[in-house]
Amino acid sequence: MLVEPSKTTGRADAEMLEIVQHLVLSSPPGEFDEVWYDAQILVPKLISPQILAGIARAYNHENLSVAKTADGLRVLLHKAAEISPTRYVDYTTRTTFRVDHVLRSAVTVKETLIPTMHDVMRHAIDDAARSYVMTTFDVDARPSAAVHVNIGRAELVIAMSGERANLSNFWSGNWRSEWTEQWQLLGDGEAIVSGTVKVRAHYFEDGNVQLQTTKAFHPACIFFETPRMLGTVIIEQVRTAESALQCGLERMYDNVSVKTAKAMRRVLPITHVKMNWNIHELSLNRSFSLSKNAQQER
Amino acid sequence: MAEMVSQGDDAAAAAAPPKRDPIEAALSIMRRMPPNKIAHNLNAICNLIPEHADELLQRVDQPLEEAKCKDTGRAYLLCDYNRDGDSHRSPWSNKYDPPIDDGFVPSEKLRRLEVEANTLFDCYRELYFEGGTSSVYLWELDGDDFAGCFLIKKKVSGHEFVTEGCWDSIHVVEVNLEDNGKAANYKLTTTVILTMDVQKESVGDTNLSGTLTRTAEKRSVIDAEHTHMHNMGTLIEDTETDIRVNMDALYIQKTREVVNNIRSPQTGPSQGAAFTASLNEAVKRHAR
Repeated sequence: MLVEPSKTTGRADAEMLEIVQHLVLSSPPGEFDEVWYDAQILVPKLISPQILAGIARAYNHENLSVAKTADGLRVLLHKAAEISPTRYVDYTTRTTFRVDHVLRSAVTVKETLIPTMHDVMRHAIDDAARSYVMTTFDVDARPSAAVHVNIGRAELVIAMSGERANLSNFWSGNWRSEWTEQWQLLGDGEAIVSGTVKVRAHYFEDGNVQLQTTKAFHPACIFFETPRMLGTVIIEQVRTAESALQCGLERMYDNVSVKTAKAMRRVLPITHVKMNWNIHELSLNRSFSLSKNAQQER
Repeated sequence: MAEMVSQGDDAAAAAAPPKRDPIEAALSIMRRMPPNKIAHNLNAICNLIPEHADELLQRVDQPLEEAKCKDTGRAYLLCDYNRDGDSHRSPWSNKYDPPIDDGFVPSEKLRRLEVEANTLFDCYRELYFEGGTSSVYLWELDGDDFAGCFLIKKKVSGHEFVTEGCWDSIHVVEVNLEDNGKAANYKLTTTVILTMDVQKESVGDTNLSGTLTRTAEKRSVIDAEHTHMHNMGTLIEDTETDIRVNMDALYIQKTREVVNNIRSPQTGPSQGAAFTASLNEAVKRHAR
């Protein structure tokens, strides 16, 4: 449970709340509002605005959603950027934002004193990450990247996401990844990079077909001489890993189409002749099929 | 909350309590949920609106379960149409398991057609699926009208990418006799549920799943050649082939296209980015 029901709600309400939460969190990219709209029809008044905000926050963190300010600034809603559930920091512009998770809107609060630990390193990776998403993702996917400091753990977290939703043409999808760079207990010029990439695609014109992918990349050691070089080296590692995953998905699609779909249900019968539905001529189908099998065995 | 309401049309729409049929809302949610979790999510929604659970369970097709006929040892498929209470009727023995005294069975005449249908559909399954399980159940409607449910389940495993996969076909056909029984109108609703689990180093933990429903209708004379089984069978065969082609060539490929529309697939090593950057530079210089 992400949110506690109030003490006055009964056990049944708590169970229903958990179900609604599960359904809304299962929404495909860009379809949170649609699922939430329908969920309200099933259980009117069950979900308070506070609880909805909690569900939306969990959804935004999981999907690496972006909140927008009125003047077009984009805030990647990554948990490492969270100061409090409604306050997020952007180290690069040294700004904090008040975020409405349900509307995915943000308001610039004020320039604040933001810790500057590992700032040179962070900046280098941030530049490389932004340039990576801008050149690798489609411009319409509005790709975002942000690098955050995990203070006290000698860790930098890179969050990147691109999302497209064209619901009037019945499709949506996102590609999001989180990479961690650690250097504690390592020598100078050494760091360990690991990460997870998640991909989801939905096509639903008169149907419902989805791709769901989660791929964890095990820790790999990298070497660098200067912070600027660190950014380049890390992002090169990320690019190689993400491109390999995309290549793998391409090969999977080819293989599924040629092999698995055919093994499930052939487009043409093994006889290459359509079924004879006359019970008195049933043996015709069978003998065709037997001779075909015999041919294959030879 | 006041802040949310002041922020435009979307918020205003959300604030006004939506008036829609709970069944429609539930179906709309199901169309967005992962198709590999149909049973789980349908059950969850039924718990939210128990008063509509029966209708929902009738309107949303779920992956089929399989049982073994105690009399013949043959596998058969379970659905609402061969269920009476907690028992299911085997299409091979016509008996319920666990046994019940007064379980529904088709009339003798319809049972004869059901036996024929099971024999033919089993042959059809072998021709197109080369394995799997099939079952056909028939039941009477008003007068001499009747309906039937034609089911196929086929599992695959150990493919290069797909570790576990399953195809479920659910065909429900309604037969209305016309012209004193010399012709009939056949109304078909077909649902296919496809799930493919992939566990592979290159793509991690991946699932590719989908569900498609199509309807088809045809009127046909009934004679020695155009028997009920011929008329229903060809309608099912053509509809299922159509779904099979669309599922692969259109729907599955569309999800691939969505991914490649987000991240460019041909991005090679950093030359791609460097090349773009140098192009941009060139363009900028030119503009000056």
